[in-house]
Amino acid sequence: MIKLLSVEWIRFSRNPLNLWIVGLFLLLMTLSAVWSGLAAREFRAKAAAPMPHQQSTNQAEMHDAPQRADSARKPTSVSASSAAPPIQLPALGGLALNVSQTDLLSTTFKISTRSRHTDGRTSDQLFNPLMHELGLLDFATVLALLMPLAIIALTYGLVQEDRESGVWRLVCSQTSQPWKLVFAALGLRYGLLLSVIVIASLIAFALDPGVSAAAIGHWLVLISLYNLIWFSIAGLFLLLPISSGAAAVAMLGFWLIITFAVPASLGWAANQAVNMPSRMTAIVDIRQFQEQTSQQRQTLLDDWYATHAEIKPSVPLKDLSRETAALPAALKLDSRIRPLMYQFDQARKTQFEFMERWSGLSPALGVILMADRLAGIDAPRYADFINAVNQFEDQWRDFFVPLIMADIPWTDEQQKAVPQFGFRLEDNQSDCVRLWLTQLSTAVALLTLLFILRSRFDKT
Amino acid sequence: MIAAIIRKEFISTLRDGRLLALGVSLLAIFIVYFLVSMHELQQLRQEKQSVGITAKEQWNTQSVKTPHAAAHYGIYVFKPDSPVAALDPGLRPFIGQSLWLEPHKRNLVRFNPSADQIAANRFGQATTSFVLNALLPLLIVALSFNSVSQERERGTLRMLHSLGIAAKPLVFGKLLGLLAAFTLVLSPALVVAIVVLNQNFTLSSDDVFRLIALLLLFLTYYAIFAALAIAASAYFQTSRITLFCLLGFWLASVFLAPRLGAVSAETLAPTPAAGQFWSAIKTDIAQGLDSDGNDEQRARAFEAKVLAQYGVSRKEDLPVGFVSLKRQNSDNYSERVHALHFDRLRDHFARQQHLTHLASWMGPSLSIRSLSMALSGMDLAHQRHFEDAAESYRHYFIDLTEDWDRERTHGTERSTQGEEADWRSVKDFDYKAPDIVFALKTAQLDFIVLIGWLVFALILLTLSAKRLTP
Repeated sequence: MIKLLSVEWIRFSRNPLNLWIVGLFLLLMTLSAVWSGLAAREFRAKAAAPMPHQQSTNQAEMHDAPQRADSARKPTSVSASSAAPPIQLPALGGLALNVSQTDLLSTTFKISTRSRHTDGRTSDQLFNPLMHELGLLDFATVLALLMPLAIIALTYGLVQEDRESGVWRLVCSQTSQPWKLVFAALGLRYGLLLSVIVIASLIAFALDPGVSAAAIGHWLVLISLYNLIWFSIAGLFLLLPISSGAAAVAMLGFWLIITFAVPASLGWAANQAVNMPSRMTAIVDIRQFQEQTSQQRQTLLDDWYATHAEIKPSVPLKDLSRETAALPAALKLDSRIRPLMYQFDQARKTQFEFMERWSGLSPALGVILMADRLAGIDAPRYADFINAVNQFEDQWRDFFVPLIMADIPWTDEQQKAVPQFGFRLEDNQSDCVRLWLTQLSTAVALLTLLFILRSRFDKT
Repeated sequence: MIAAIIRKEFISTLRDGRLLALGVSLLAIFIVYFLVSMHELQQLRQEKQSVGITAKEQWNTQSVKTPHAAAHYGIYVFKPDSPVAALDPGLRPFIGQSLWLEPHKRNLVRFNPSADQIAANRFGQATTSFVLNALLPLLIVALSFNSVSQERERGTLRMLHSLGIAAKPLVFGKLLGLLAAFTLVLSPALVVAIVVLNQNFTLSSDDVFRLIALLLLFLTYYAIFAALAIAASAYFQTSRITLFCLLGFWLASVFLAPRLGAVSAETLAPTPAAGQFWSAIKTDIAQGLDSDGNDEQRARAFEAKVLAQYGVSRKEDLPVGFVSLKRQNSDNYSERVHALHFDRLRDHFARQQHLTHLASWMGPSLSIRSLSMALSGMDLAHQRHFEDAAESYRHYFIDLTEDWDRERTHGTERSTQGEEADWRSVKDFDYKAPDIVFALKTAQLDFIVLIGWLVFALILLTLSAKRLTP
């Protein structure tokens, strides 16, 4: 086999077209790796930078914005509450694989006594939609798209062209097991492409200061399997009794189907299984809640003080500041909006899990889902994060609201007792293993089929 | 002579098994994608309309409250999608679906559909535009990569040469024959699309012009691919190398150029962070632009001006509501600051769009995508037009509530109340999308790039004809 490989290497390396293809693939993957690694580095630097105190709005802009403290010497509970630092979704070790997707998700949240769901300024990202429509150079996406094409190019006419020229007849007359030649050719190309994507992956990871060994390990296993799947598919296409051009076009068609049509169909099926609620219908519901709570504002204020008999207003109710008087209504409103908004995250989570289960049908989809998992921006983790943010928001409000309603002067002791957010980094190793096991089973099935059909390479 | 070549190429392309297999498959994909896109668009339009009506009715039926409290309830508006968007949804997946209009603040559109999707948009959208932009050029490559090289390999090129057929009419005849056959195969899909669109939507004359322009531009796009494919087939010695080069070009044009263009634009002109953007607006409102003074100085100056205007010494003695007057004054300033920053942001996005063309040397797909989005009314320029119209409407209805407040109160009173008749008197948001001239003006650069590619492809075809040897 070693001799076959060395012969194949001579054949491979003496064809300048092969070297061009590998070189171009290396160039594009390196470009993508550098861009992705630097983008991940930038994301982490921004997340780590101390956030300047930024009120969601100020009095110059909004007359009902929280009052500013009279001076630095006299902070109030309201001013202290508005100084709470934003909460950020902590990225995981594989952020460099899918970093631009963080644009589409809200990864920073400002906790306050007002509903964060009704003000896009506190959580929405700013991005040019055209850039996402055109697509950026996310490493995982570029790899999932380009690697099959590099394989199609490198395996073009490997058997069919020799058949067309009559060389294959000669080969078969020289060996009783011509499939070994094909397997050696595929094996050599597999090793070369794997080296390219491993090098490119390591470049991307090296540029991201937050990379983890687990992310690298899972990713390298996955891409070696993805590579194997596509070489197995290429091997099966080499069996077809058609011309080399027709085989290349057919394989291109197959690539289009399992890379574009299957994920789109799975997306549709996931939506049929778990219907994503309508954001626009949610708007109508939110407005209904807003009107109801607006009408109940005074009642809710009275009820709040009645329920919290130990807390007395500092002034008669009619003289309360605007932010204090409106606080119970704001809390009530948020308690109704929050479950409405969480259902979107919950639906995304279930759809993601659905697509993971079926990712064996589209290896490229498996690569993307794994990248999301490793980056920590997958829908299940995001839904868990939002849940944690909601719980923290409750805890934070339980602390601040009584102080605001009682208008108690802010002290250093209270500052020390302010609740701190801590999102436990869930261990998603088993999910990652499940994803690459799916790829492994696909690879094994394809390789087994190729091995069973190996005698067909004898046909001249 | 050229007519005979066109006829021969036309017939042989139609008889080619590849056209039957690939053409029929793509036709089926096109029709399925189109029907799905159209169904989605129809649902979206209905939902936008019904939610828009409900949201306005919610505004109309608000309880009795102060006009300013009513204004804070706000109005939601939605951008109506053109029927042409069934062919290309453009930026829709990445642009928010709704815009909330409220006092004091100008908002960005919220809730982009891609945030709720899992993975489909990573590989492009499963839409008709994907078939038109990506798959049909591939069909052309598959049909034409050996159009000349096969003649050479079979020896028929030598025979044609010996018959005195010049190379130029030969390659141009092949181009026209191929395009004619391709158009014939494509026409059932176009007929289906037009009939279905006409049955499900009321097509305005502007929609029809947009569809015709789109068709002509896509034919230009396909002509570029066909010309380059035939030029490559004439230039390279073997079909294998031709196919490799053409697939490489297709890949570069369809998949790499848009991505590299986007990355170049984002690198050369990075989008500001959301925090920075909003913070700059707040700071400018609080501290004032140029030498306007800060908000307190502006408020004091305004108060003095109003008192002088009405000839009174105290706000309490004013014959109109001062609270509303003051609020309107600060809102006017806020609108000015918002307009400045929003325009800067949208100019920045437009600059990024122009910068994406740095990658247009890799292929014409980037320009046809921009043109297609523009003609479908789903590009940045159309979105900006809508947002500006919504902003004008915001000024209108906020000013109206302030007028009620100001006219019904005196001095520093805050007690005036509005009721359903007032809320109902606010006109509906009636948005008129711009016409095709606007779309073509905004896509001028894309058009120039596309035509540039056509000229380049025809020059290459001419040069390859000159070098053609049997």
